[in-house]
Amino acid sequence: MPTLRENLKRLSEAIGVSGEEREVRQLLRELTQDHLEDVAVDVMGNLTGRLKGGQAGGLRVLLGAPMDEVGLMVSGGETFLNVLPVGRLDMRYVAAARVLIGAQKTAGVVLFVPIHKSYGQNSLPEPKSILVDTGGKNGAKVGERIAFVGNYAELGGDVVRGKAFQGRAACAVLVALIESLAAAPLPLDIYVAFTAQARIYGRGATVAANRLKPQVAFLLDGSECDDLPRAEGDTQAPMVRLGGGAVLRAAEEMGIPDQRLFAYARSLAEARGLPYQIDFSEAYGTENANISLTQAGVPTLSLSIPVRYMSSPNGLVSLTDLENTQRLLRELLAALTPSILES
Amino acid sequence: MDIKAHLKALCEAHAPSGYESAVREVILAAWQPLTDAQEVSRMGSLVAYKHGGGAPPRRKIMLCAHMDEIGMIVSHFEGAFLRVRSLGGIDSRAIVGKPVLVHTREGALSGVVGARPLSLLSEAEQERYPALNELYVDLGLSAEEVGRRVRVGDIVTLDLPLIALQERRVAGKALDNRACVAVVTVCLEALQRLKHTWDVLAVASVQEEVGLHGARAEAHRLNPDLAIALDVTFAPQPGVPSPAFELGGGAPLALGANFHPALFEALKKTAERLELPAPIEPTPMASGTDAWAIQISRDGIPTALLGIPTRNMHTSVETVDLRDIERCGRLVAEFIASLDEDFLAQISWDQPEPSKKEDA
Repeated sequence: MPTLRENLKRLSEAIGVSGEEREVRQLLRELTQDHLEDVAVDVMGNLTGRLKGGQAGGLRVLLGAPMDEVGLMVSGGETFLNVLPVGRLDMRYVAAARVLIGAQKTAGVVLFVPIHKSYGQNSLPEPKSILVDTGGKNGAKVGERIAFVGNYAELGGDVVRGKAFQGRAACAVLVALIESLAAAPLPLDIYVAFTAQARIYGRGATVAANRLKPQVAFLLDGSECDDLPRAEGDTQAPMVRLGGGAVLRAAEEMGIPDQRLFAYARSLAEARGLPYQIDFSEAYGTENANISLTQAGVPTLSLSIPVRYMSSPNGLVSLTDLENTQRLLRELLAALTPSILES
Repeated sequence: MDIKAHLKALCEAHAPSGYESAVREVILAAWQPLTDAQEVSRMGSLVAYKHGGGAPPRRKIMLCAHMDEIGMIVSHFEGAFLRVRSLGGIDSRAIVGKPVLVHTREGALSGVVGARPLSLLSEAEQERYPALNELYVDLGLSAEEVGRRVRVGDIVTLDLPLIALQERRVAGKALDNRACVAVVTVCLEALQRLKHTWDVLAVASVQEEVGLHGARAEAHRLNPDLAIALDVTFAPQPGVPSPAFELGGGAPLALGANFHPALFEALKKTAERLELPAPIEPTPMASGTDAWAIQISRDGIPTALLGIPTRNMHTSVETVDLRDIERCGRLVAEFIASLDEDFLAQISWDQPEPSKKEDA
């Protein structure tokens, strides 16, 4: 069985720009096919399935992880490609970026005006000003997706560097959890969803939850670390540290996670001695709200993996955080009873 | 020689100004079989000698391409993070999120150039690129580990491979000026098949990016009769005003006060004879290249400058066309082969005035 580390590398390097997640979806299918039944790719492009050996009539649980990443789409151009953004781009990371274009993965670079000709011009450009150079004539088709290239590497200790960790670290944890649950089943009816379009308002998750109709949902995602050098005068203690353990989201962009699940997770983490941290920034995270609001409401909890530079093609994650998040979610499932949701 | 593989080895060596050893090794390995003698100068520049076929004492032409790249240097620690200063014109706008190597006494550590996420920035900060003093290097290590392994003064380089684009174009870091080192390699290779009477002094100079220091010292020490400096120049792209030179359009030959006009003419004639494109790069004053230092060495050295058109200069996606490198190398080799004992006399500044008057 491939290790968490090997899976994370493959998942990080796979391409899956929101709305065109084919490559990463195929990889996830390959990594999980032995343990899932009723595997489907739905209308949105979500990859869903039911854990084999689940207990029919047991509590119906959905485990989700987003598989897409931000990128660009070709919009035209002659010598250089014009593009449009896919997802929320941090333009600082677009400067002089390396990219891969379309399914054929043509190499390209984002043009950057040399400092000799642009000294003192410090405003971040608009996304519509991005130009991509393939070295040749524009051979790309309008509508093709463009992915940023990360530079995966194992740094010191348990920290790895790579792209698309916001979703892919969560995918790697969910793959590991599926393996763990297959090896030691729980008396639950477990469904999994690797969701599409998380980076475009979390719309894949809505459809996945509508289709799978869970009684409770746990969502894995990334959480931005803020254990970084601060501006002068900013004495705030960091909320989310790399290596600090799974992140429980106390607030998200479009809502507050289910408080019963939140309290349950917090007390269980403490009882089991598993590291956790609380993130109450409201900066991102829309899938939770989307699933919460499906059907007549689904109690939903987000567990996130700490990621430094989450919107960069070279983010950092700690493998220990991934392992601890997987362990905490497994413990949460093992002790899960319907009564938690009745309180 | 596989020019792309050679260029890849050159560009992927980590060698900022003052710390050129790694790339010097790569160049020495390439030039050794093509030249008669090699030495490393006191400054650290590599000089390779290819003797001419003439009777001694022979005239000498110096080819000079700088081998250093822009980089950074660790200035202080902030917890687990390294603050850095520029070593030769790094563009802080183009390095955010880029992978780097920190070169420590125990070897290189991989890291990334970090910046605070948007959620930690003021509205004004969200609208602009961070300055270098707002960036830092993150090695993913604890503060203790960083303090134990890294020292103030350690060198930081971008860690990105050379990649192939379409149309025989390549993109990567340090093509400024390893592209021109490759030009010298192509030239030396071509000279294996050409007869030349002059001695050729191939110089891979140090510390160009911090003030043309290597070229200045070697020009003085070697005291050549002629010099050709080689450095990258600008290719057209939005935001780069004319004059700029198309990738694949040939190596521009510079014209201006920094260059000897007769040497310029002689190179231009060689290009015309070979039917090689050699557009003129108007450079009225300072060229900002090794040519600037070489020209005023000793009694003055007739100097020329050839360039390789480059996009995205001083970023990690500098882009050049391999055909320009090949053609420029061939042009220089053919020019060297054309040099004879009388050449210096032919490049005198002022020809005698025409004696015949048109009007009485």
